Amino acid sequence: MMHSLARIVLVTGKGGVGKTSVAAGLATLAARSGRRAIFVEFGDGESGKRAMTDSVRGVEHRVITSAKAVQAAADDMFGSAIVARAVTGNFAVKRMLRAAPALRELAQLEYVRSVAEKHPDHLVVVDMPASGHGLAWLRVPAKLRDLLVTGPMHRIADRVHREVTSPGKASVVLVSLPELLVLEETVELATSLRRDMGITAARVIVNRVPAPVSADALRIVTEQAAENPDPDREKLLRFLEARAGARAEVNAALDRADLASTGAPILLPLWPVDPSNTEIATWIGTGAEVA
Amino acid sequence: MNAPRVIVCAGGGGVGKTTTSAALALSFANDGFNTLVVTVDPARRLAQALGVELGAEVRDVSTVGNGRLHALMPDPALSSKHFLRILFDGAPASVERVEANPVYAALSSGLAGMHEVVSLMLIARAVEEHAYDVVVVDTAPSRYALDFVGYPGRLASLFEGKAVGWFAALAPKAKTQDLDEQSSDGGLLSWGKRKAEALVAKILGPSTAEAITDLFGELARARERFANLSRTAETLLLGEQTRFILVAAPTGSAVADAEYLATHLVDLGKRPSAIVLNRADRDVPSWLRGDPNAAPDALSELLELARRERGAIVKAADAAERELRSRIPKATLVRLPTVDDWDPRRVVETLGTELEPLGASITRAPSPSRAPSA
Repeated sequence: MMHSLARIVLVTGKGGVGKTSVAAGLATLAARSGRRAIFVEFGDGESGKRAMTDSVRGVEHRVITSAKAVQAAADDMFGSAIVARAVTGNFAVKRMLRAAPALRELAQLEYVRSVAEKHPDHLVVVDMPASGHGLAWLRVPAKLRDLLVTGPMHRIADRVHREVTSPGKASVVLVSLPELLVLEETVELATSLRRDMGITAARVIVNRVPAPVSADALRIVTEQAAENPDPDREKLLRFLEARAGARAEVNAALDRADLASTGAPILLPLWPVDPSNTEIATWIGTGAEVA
Repeated sequence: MNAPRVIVCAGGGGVGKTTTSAALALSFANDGFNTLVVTVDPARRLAQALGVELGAEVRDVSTVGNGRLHALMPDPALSSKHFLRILFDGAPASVERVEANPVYAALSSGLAGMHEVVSLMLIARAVEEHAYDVVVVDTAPSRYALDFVGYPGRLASLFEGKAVGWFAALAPKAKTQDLDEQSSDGGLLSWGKRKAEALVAKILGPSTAEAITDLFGELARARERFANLSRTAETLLLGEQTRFILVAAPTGSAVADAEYLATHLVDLGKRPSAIVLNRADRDVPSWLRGDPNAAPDALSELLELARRERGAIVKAADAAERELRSRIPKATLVRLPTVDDWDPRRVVETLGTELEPLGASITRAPSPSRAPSA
């Protein structure tokens, strides 16, 4: 899938789905195919460090806190760090900034834009912060651009939209889990990305998918449990049913979804626990299917 | 009325927090306590299994808990609608004006955090309106749990302090400023106010500045109610009665998230009372062994795979337990097995039984004392 990616890759999905691991895996895969990559992480950098278990030549890990991203955008906006700090230090503005997350999101996307601008020959893979509403995040630049008709913030929002969140500028990789609600959210996200923003999700990656249960195996145990009921067989049957049910739910949700333009979802296996970035890179590279 | 005991469950995403919270709440209900479980990030299958609809109202759980279990599972899709209804309770004109405000319209759908704020308001309202012995709160996933518990305080300080008033006071000025600029230099305003307006207008543009100040003018009307609800929520989440339970699973990131939460809870003057380690089997169950003499078939292959998986879980869980015990030594650690069942209700029941000792240790702790309701 790597050749189809734009220069900026935004890896998004709800909390706990394994975005960081997938982002690290994508950066690793890029480096393996001879392309230098910058793996951008917002926060304290610990998740990214844990995800990059195997260090890879050609992958640079960049970490920025949201406060620093906001400060950098403000410095740029006022053309002077001193003025910027006087403004962001104003007690009311400070409280506004803390209560208005949209500004933080704009600042983070502005950071992504500036990294991509400074490193034109790198693939920039971004582990997007979990926010519950992945799309809301990507809409922030266009919304603020339209809302703020003039002024320096309008200019930043406009630039970020043109260079990051408008169609064709960034590839969006959606990470999901084999759970109905999470998958449905992912599918909805893919649909509204295309409909509202004109962005086609580059790929849906479903993480931690348990191995499928064959109909044969289920039949054997069902027959055994009927012939010769005992608590162990009952437990085994429940175990197989739980697995088969989860799997069927995944397949049904993906079937219902119109992901034709996105390409077949990539299903990553449940095991091993805590796969390394090189393992994930291999899975994604071969388009892992646990079918 | 006594304040309820509050148990806040926090942990990384995907560790089974929602199920654990429901199971713990069930153990309290089974023990005779009138219990409310609040799920900020609801799982639809679990809600269905418990016979609960998502919404802004508290629902009685019909399938388990002997009528003493109640659930509040706010629907994220309806948050921005509920927000104004709660905030301007009994002032529909304000609701309409704010809904028509371009800044609010633009930001409310895109505001990360809106759902959390609404959930907090709904928790505060539910606790004000009903008498619960125990409230179990299932927080937003991961490290955002701390943002979540700290949010009411930040909101309250925004509304109680001068900030909202400062923005609101600009409202009439922003309008006249446009006129002033056209007619004369309007040098009557004080230097501070001029500077403030110029600043807001410079960052946001004059028409947006006006919409924002209008919005804050409207919000200022509701500041008292909002600040009160925020303080109620803050007391619930960070008060004396509150206990924190960290939920983890045997993966590197879940353990790291638990450690992060434990460390940073201290900043909020709290420490975790217990850690629940989910999906942490102690051994490979006998029923996965199958028949060693049977010819290889579809089943035996699957069982072999499942045994390998479960073996890996046991090893990872042993390591996770050692790590958590050494890093968070003061908290009780409860290790739960994987419950292989497709029916979430049975999962909650099974785990509820497993969690009974932990539940009892929380309700029987000396302070604050509270008898089960009849």
